[in-house]
Amino acid sequence: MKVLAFARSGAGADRLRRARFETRSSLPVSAVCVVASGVRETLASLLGAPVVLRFFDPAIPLPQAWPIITGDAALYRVRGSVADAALVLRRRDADALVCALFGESQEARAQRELSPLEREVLHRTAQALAANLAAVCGQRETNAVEPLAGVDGYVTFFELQVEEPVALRIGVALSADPKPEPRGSLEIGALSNVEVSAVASLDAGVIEAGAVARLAAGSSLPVRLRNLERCSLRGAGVRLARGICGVRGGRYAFVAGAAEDRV
Amino acid sequence: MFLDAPLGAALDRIAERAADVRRAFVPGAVPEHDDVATPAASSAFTLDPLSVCAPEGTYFLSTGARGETAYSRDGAFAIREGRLVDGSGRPVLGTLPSGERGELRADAVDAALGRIADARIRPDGTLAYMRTTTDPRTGERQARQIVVGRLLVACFPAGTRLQARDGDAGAAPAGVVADVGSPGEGRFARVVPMQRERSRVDLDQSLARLKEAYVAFEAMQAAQTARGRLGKTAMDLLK
Repeated sequence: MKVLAFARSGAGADRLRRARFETRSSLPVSAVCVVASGVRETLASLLGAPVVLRFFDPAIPLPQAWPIITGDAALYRVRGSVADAALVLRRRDADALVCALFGESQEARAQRELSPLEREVLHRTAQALAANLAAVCGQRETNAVEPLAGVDGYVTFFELQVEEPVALRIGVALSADPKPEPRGSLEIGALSNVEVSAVASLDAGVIEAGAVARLAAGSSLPVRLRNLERCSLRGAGVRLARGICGVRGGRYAFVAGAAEDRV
Repeated sequence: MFLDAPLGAALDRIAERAADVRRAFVPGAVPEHDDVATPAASSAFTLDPLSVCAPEGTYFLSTGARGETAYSRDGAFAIREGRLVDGSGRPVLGTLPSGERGELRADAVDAALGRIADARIRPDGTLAYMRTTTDPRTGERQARQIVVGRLLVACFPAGTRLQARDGDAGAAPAGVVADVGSPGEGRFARVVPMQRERSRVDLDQSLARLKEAYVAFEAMQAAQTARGRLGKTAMDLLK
């Protein structure tokens, strides 16, 4: 969904944060909160320690951003009834998670590849984490996750940032962004007190352009009687009704004949 | 017309003077000829929080196209694709949070998703930006400062003249080792944020010297032409 927003940083000599249209995800933050809370509880039980976790707002990455997001990451597909989700664990995050699960320090582990046993543990951890994704991808028939080669066709992305007991990030990509529901933020009754200027105008009929050009002081312009019955009422420049103008009780009056059919 | 050595040298002088004129438009640039240098360094205020002024006698470090280290006093930096780059797009070098030295770059995913906000350089050379996260329990949003690293500055032994390149950066002369450190540490003063150093080249003086170089070249050209004619006349008389 495109929304009007301001750039995050000012550009140019004036450092003005310029207005622009941004594509934003319609994924409710409340749904991400549910996922984040579930992941926190799951990690706390796996790691045997309290987990402090926060999350980044969901985003719609540009096509050129996806390779950066998934560059060296391990991907696990989670099939849901509404959309597919993919757990994105970057290399360093996967290393940090495995180290925390095995009680190993990251410095000692250095840069070596994950062993088959560590990969299996990582897979099962992803499976446990995937059980919390129902809020964003719908109900699932099984808890299985599948290794994924790429995230082509995925649209939405958000990240969970684990701060304690280990610093790492867990990304979640979704194959579909929820469609925004049109909702009026203002009820029509809220506009009832807005003041608009009303103008009743007489339609004096049709006149040739040449006759207008010849008008001068003392000229007389014939107006047909039946034209005087063609009066229109305008509010804020919009014609509201047609009718007849006259005087009633010493005041100008407008008798509405036909209301304009406007929404 | 054959180009003899004096004429070639005159053309070289024109090229050098023209290069100095171009440097007059490059922030922080130092002239190749001291006779067109301004009396003292000066800087101008800018709203850009990524613009900094280097301490006197020091240079910022960046990586050139061939991987060589380039030294420049132009502190008008920007963040492109997550990397801190100088005015010519060269990656700026600094000290990373791990303690290693390398290119200063923000987290790649943060950069790709446009999460880098309010990036700025502090007087101690620290490059930081703000990143917003949400607590799932309370829904509270919190912006936290993320430190990318710290700028490096270098200075050279007194009297060292950098080998000029395209005008905005230079290379260390052969055999000269730069003293590299962080602003505000040891012998290095702090950088001045939101300032942009002006060129150290006096534009009027550099234009005057360029004109003189052209005049000298034309005079030598006329002298060579006259000498050629004289030689031809002498040869004709001998014939």
